[in-house]
Amino acid sequence: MSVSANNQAYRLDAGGRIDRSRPLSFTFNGKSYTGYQGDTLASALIANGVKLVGRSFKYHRPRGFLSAGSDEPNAIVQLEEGAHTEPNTRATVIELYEGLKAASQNCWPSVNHDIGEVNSLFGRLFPAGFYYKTFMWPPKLWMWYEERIRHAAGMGVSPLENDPDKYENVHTHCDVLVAGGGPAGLAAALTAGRTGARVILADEQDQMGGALLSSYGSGHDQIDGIPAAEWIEATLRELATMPEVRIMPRTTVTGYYDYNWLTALEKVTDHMGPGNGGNSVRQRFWKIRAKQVVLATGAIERPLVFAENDRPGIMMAGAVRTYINRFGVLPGKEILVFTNNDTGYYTAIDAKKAGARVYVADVRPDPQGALVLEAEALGVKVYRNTVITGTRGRKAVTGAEVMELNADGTDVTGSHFSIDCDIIAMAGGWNPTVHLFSQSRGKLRWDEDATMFVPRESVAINPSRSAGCCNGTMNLPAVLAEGMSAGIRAALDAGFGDGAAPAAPSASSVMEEPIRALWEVPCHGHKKKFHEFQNDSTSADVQLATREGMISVEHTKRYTTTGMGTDQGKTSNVTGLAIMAAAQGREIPAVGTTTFRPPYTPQAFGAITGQDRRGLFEQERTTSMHPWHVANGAVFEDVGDWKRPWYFPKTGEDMHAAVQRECRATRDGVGIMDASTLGKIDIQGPDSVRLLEMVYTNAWEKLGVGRCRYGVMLNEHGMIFDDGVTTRLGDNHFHMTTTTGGAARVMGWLEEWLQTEWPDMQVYCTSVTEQWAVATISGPRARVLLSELTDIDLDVESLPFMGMAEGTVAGVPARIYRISFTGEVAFEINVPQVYGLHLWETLMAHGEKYDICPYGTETMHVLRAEKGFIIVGQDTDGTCTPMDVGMDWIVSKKKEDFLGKRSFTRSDTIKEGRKQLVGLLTEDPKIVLPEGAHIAADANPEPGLGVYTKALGHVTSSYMTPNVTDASGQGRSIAMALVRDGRNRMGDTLAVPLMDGSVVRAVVTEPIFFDPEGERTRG
Amino acid sequence: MVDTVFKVIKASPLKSMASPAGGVSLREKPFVGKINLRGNIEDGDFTGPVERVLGGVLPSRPNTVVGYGAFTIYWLGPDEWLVHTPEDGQGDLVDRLRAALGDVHSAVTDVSDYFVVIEMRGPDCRDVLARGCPLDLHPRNFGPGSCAQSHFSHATILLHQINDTDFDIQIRWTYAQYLWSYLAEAVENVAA
Repeated sequence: MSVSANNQAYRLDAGGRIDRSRPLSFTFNGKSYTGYQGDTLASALIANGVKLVGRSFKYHRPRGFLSAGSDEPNAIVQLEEGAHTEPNTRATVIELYEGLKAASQNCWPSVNHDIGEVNSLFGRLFPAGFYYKTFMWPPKLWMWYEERIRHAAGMGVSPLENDPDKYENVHTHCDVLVAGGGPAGLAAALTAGRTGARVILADEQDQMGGALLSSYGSGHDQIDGIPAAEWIEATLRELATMPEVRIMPRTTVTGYYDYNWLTALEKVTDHMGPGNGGNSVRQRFWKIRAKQVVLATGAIERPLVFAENDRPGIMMAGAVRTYINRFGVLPGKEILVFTNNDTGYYTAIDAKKAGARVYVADVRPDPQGALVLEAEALGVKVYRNTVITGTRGRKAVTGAEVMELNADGTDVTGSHFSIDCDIIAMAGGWNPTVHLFSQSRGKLRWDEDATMFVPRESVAINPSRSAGCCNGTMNLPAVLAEGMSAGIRAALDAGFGDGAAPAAPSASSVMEEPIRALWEVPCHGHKKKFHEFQNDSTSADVQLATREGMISVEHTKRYTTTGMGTDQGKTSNVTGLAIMAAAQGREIPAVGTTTFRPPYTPQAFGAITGQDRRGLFEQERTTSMHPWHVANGAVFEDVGDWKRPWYFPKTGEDMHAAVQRECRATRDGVGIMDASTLGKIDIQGPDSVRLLEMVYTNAWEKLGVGRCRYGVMLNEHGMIFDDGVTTRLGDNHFHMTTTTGGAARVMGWLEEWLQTEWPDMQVYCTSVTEQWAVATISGPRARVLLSELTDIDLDVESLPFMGMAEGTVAGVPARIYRISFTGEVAFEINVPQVYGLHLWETLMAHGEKYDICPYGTETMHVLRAEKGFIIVGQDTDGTCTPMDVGMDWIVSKKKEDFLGKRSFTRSDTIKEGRKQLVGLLTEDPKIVLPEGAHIAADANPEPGLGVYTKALGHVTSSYMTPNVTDASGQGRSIAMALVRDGRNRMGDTLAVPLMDGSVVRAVVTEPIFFDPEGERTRG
Repeated sequence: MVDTVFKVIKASPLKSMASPAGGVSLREKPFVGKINLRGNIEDGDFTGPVERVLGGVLPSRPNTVVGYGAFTIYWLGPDEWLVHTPEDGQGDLVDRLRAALGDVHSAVTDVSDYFVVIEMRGPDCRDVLARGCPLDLHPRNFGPGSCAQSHFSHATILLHQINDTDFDIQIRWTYAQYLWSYLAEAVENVAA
């Protein structure tokens, strides 16, 4: 590290909106520098004479600062280190802070000595579409190539650590959103704010003023007879008195979506440096709903496409002016302004006044405007009808060759001469910043005289107005008038004020002569002329793409990578398509523009994510019994967004041991499970039965009060999508249960049909999932346990299988449903959720003497598989009819209609040989088939291939169980599978080839392995 | 038959959650009785009995809340209301409503434990709610006595403005901890 270079040789003694009493030290590429409060990283580096900041993407050519704003394509740096590091940040928008660290990216080993620069020597070998042409063969190597190309190109480094910063999303609303805080935006906010409307004024910079900041102190910025800076101050003071106006600096409106929904990124603490923001979020992502929008987003200057126009020190003229006036930095001692319009002369005049030697090369034959004459009067040498035909200097520009243009601007003529300079300022005209307007589906119009795309509509599809430079209005007096009018009319449309705009403030205006568009500057010889700096796209690339048949602007964009960098071609796109139009012999509007997509500038994923990370990424739903599960060592499984106990291992047990124990204990004694997560829907109304008849396949009319029935729900295609037990609580009152994961879907399904197709049905559905906590006890000792705790008669006559009774359990109101998913005598005990934990703990305490065993979802799965009960979504996959899973009995043949019925006459649904649910018993009872394993016919493998080629289906459920035994009395594996024509393969032996190359043989059986008669269930 | 006397303790999902430090305090208001009521407000056979039981007319203006003695009634939809009762009053109210309504098409459903009530108190409530709820809660748009069903990030909520600054949020039991944690962070972010 070298000694601090505190000379700032390019800093002016006075002027600018920086605070010279507050020096800030920072490092760039390991070297220490000093800048001032109010600097950007770019302005501070330029003040210190740093011109080389990076390398271009393809040719690794040395590159410097092009702009002074968010349009910067070249000066992208890796900001900070470690967890705080951020790649691809633009030095031109990074506010300087004490201790800032930044480094060049896209160079190796260093920006001064970059090996990739050899690419530049072989530039002709890297034409447009180079990657597509070269690396696509053989196709399978593309992934390999891509990795190498990306390393060589290098787009910065992502942090490897977790992001230590906080972010948040915030919703907000307003009557008028003004995007952009330049003269038009300030004027609009002022007139809108005065009506009492709720106004948001957002600007990406740290202070309001926009383009006025760039003319600060120049004498060309008078408004109402006072300097623009004072007008800004006065305007902000008035806005501050309006309680419904919010001024939001450092806030970029990044996206404009339908119904005037916009997003904005606020950089809250970035300007303080990492770790200095206290407890504040680093960035805030705003989601804004605005009744009306005023777009006042300004304009972006475009470069001139001349030979060797990419050397460090070749900058946008407006940027040079910004550095002089706003930052008190004169970027060069000898400045050559290359312009095709009058605005370049602002730069020439300000640079001359700041002490530089200034030349102007103007492509126009004979400009005589007021600014031209003013510049000449100050001693600026103006070369008319003159263009740059080449530049000198390797890591910084040292001079230019210039020649005269011929009469029609197609070639240069005469003899060239040389101008020594350390800065070339390009003034190629301005492109209105129409990005947000276009995002909102506004259409553009090509203004041939002004040579720019401007918004076609005065009021766009989404209620917005463009005002000022983004509307193609470039003169300050007109900009202010348009801003005031847009603000007052937006307020009126939002319901505020009378729409009468006050007189606009007067402002200095300099009559400008027309621009002379010269999209590609002629020269002699083959020299690179860049229109797109970040991705190294030249005019020759665009012309080559045209010759190779790329007609669409979208194709040319991708083929040449024009506008595909991190800057999204803010400086390059229009120039690129103008060159394209010329190459195709078409008019510019006929070529059209590429699509403007959000975000306007890059935004961190952290900001978009906001608070939604870690515990807040997704809700974890737990039941009232959950604290007991946690305290007793449950291992949890995610089921939808629920945390459900998976199994309850005792000390030293693995999952297998725990599950085998739980399975045995439930069959032998009593097991208990938290079933609170089941979806529950309360259905009331005289048409409740009609509803059930339509959404279930079986009959419900005759179900008695206090009785339960199992049902499956089908979609319109006749495929199972949910199942559950529904109980009749009264004549017109039912309690429906759904699968845990299907609760919301079923509720939505019922409401959709009731609201759209059956509005005549008198029935109300109310979700009661959380109202009821459910403990299910199963097993031969379940009844005796429960009988100790309830006033309900549990005798099989009083409460038979599939019956329901109400009373108290453990002293609290309860419903007991005799429903069994295990095949044992089982009681689903429902109590209000507040009593869930009490119920569970009481059952555990009283069950201790019966060796009660808590079990989780895995044991539940094993026990139901022993009985062949399906789990929707595991044993079915959206292509299964009830018949496919062996439940023909549940489909009523008598009902006139039910959802899905029609599909059972479709040829595909009734054809033979569909995949059907069967049981599988492996020949080796110790082998547990992997779920998802494919099943093949037990023929020999295809000769010569050694593989099974005909898949019959797959294993859907597979477990080891202690309750189904092999010949030796040991527990064995069981499985369920969907197998093509499975019902006709009973007893067949099929092959299950596994990933490790082995093949397991298994016999097809009925999918029921335990108590096939169901005697235990009914007891 | 059972003759044991059980020591019954009610559970609430937010008992262990601490209120954040900042411009909003959070507190669970536990064990409020809640009933979901459905019916046709244009049918006098529905509104008559309901209003006799509740002691006043059902709110018909969208997103409004009225109170009659022990009952607070939230408009949820054109044919749907939520009625709050004091703790353990819900069973009695369900019985009385059902008895009064008889065969009139309606639905009376106990949802006391379906929702949990979180009381948000303090000057920053609107700013905190903006960090997850997309509704416009500006005083010109939403005020005391207003209620609305919306969402806060991934959770469905019922919002009720109590006075110029304070709100009650009702949230499904199983989302309550998630919402509380989200609100707590929002409170800290607003305070920072």
